[in-house]
Amino acid sequence: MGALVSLVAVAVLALLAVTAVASDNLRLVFGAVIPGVAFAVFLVGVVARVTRWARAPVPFRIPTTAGQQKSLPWIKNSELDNPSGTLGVVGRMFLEVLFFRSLFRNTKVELITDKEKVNYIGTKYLWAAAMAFHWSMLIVVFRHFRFFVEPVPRVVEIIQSLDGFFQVGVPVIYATSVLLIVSLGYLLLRRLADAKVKYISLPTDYFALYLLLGIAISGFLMRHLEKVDIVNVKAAIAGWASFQLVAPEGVGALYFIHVFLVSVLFVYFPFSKLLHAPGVFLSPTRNLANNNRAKRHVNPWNPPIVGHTYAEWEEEFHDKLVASGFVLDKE
Amino acid sequence: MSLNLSRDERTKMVARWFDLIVDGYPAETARFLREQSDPFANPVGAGLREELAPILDWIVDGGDGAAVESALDRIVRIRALQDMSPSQAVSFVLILKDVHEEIAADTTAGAKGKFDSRVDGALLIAFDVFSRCRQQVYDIRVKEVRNRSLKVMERLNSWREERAGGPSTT
Amino acid sequence: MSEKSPQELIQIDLNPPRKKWMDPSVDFESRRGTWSYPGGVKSIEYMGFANPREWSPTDEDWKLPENWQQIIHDGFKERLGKYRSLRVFMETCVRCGACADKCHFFIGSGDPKNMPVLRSELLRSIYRNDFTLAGKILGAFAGGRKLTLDVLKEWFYYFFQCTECRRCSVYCPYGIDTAEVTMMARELMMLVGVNINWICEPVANCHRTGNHLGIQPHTFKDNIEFLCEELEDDLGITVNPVINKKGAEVLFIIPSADYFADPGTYTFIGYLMLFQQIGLDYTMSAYASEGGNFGLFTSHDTIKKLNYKIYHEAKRLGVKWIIGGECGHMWRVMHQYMDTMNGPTDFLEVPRSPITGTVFENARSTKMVHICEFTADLIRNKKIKLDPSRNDKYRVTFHDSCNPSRALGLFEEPRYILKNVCNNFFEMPENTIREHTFCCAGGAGLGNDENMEMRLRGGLPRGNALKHVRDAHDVNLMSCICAIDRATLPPLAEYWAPGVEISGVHELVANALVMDGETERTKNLRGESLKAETEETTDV
Repeated sequence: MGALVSLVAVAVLALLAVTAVASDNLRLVFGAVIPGVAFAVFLVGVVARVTRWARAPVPFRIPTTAGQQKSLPWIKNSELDNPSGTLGVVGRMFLEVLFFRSLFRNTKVELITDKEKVNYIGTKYLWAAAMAFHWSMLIVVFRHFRFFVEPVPRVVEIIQSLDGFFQVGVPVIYATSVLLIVSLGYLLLRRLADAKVKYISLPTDYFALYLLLGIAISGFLMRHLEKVDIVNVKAAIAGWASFQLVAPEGVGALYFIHVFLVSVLFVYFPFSKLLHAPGVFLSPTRNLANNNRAKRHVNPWNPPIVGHTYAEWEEEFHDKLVASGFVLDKE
Repeated sequence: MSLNLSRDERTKMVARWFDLIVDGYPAETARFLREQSDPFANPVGAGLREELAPILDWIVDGGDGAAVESALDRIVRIRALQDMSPSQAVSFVLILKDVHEEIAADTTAGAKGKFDSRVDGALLIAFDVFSRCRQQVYDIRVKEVRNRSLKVMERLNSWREERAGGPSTT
Repeated sequence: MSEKSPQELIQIDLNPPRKKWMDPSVDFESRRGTWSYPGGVKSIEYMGFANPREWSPTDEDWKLPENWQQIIHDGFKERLGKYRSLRVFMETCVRCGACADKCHFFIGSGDPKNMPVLRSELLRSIYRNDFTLAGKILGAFAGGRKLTLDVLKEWFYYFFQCTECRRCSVYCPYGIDTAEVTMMARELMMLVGVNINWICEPVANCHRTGNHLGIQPHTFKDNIEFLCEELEDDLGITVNPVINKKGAEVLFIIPSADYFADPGTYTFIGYLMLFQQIGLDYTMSAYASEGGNFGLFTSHDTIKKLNYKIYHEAKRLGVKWIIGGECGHMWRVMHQYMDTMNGPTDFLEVPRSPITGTVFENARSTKMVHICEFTADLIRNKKIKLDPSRNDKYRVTFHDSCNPSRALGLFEEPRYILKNVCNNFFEMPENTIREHTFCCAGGAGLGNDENMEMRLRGGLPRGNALKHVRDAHDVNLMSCICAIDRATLPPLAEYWAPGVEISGVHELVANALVMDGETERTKNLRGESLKAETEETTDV
């Protein structure tokens, strides 16, 4: 149900963008105004939300320890799973952010009989698909810099040529374009087909996936089917930088769908779960060292609570203490 | 006397039986029970996977009653604790009748009747196991209250009495 | 007539119309054995907690304050401003499902709402409804839900069905810790008087007498003397327990179950024998007579309140540093909360073992050392003589307790000790130990007898792994370093892996410990013959 509603929502958004082709004014709105506003919302939204997280205090140091602690010098500690200091934390975060280490734990490599092989692959796929999606996404976004920057930076060119290493198709089909669509497709199918995941999924979970798929597919088609005139697009974008809002010439519906869905993503991003990326950096179970006993952690709002004091205790049990021969502080 | 069920039929029956039992759980749980093949991550699924075949073999071939009881125990012990009525907890044995009807090649009334009555036998054992497990849960509960600190208290009190030459209070 | 086949019957019985998880409904009446009794009026009044009253989860009316929704809303808001953890955990979950099958309660019960992600969603849905724009506008589409009485009842059922073991947190790509979410939910429920007695009563007892069981100082002393006399009678070993001694070097803090409940008492005697043998200048305290802290299952303020006595007593007695006994959640508090809450400890010294000279750098600030760290250091430096053959009747495995595992990372110290004090040690399967360890299903205040069904359900994964080593290696003893484990694992083992007993690590240390001037030992601490009965007939 939620999956269907979300699909319809994304389809409606795409159709909306198609209307832009019709009139010059709409072309300006969809081709320049909306993307500009959306990008601004994106920047402000992300900064605002991350700031709100960062400003919330961390009263206690509560890392989840997933390896041996650093205690006695002759016991080997596992610095990456149970960091004892900043360096370890950086390493742990590095593995977490770039390689989804915790998610990888989910998969277990062992010899299994053929019949049951499928099952394990199932759990490995989540990690693999997540890796494939995020890395492809990163590279695809990076590749887009060639539209924004003139001259195109050398790194972008290198990445681009690596990405098109297989030299398939004209223009060359980038590996990440395919990976992006395939991995998104898998993540969507998993949500629909795995009852366990389906049960926990919210409509917005599907919405995000459809939106991303819409963006990826329209972008792919634009490059390989419609073959949009890059020069015009680039010229228009260059205009934005000097605050001249113009829509590119000679682009069709696909372009507007792509750009409008990206705009929707920009606006949606800071208000949704899509902003999980900075969350990893701010997660107190991951970004703190497990050195609680070695170094005092300060709670900025530590409440002035006093427990039952010894004096009160001694007073309450005075007679019994005396009868049992305890030495008292106060006679 | 003896029932004729080929290896192939049995394998199919066990697979079908497993599916039907697992489908008795909520869909999202069923998928987990079916797919997680690590016996330590999925003890419920592993119990079914490993014990259904020996139970079926016993039903078909007869044999050691203690062995089938221990196989049934592994499954019933779990179901005795889950959110199920007593009848639901043991009913998984009964489903085997349908499975047999669906898969067995020998569909004569005689074969069916024989098989069904053997299933009834297994069901009765399952029921015994179920009752035993439930009783054990109650026993454990009562015993725990006693063990936890009463035992120490009793020992302490008698020690005190001995020392003081009379009963004392806590 | 169209008789229903057994299969049809089952389908009907077991597959009720599938509801979405957002529809709350818990039938407490039909689920007896899976929830705990509510907090008693006396304890709640004594602690000054909210809304003391007689009530039962099976009641229609939970006798909540008129404005209970507002109270929870305000409490939620306050905590969002105070804990980054809460804010981040409410906002970052992508529902990837990695945690779904990691909870022992889900594995054992098959109840989908025991998937950690959904446990958190119970709270998160209210968060979205009350505090996010999308939730306010889009409602259920954005995963928002209004806080109704049924939702609160569901909170009670499922947040007192989480043992705060943190296993799911290990697998979460964002480090979302359900224990933290459960702690917050329980704090919120406390605000309107929704709680359980097995937490409230120990808390009140602990505040008043110093320990969970409400043992008063004279009984505390009596009991310890009694246990020591029993030891003398049984094994002819004399230990001199020290209580409330000013100027001792070390304050020794233990969970009360160790001196008041079997099999913890054997571990307790084990500590004392070890200290006796090495001549440690230590003292216990009749006032700080509890290391455990059920505040952890109540509210952060209560943790601080109950933990106060540790440093307070250390200062009063003028000790130099502190050793803590074998206890799980106690160590979470001592390690992750104590110094922050009740430090700094400028009146103590950096712990240094007087026997080996080792300085415990890892406890430089809190000044509190885990007894396993202390003992491992003694063994490493060959300061105690051990005869592991005295434990030969045992075939031992080790249960990693949740908190020492996932809140400290204390994995090797107890193993090092065990391998030195017994000859037969076997690990349970890899994905059930260390950071992957399965809970005893009785932690976080759930180890009461009325909750036994749920405990045994949740105990299945641990019991199953235990049964495996019992069958594969004839394991007959599971050692652990947690007082709650020592109370909750015996029933678990009895049901899932009969024939396996439970012990603390220091019980086995004491069995193996060669003491000065001792006569030849024929019995272990439990008063049983050192040899297995079958061997005895052939050997002797």
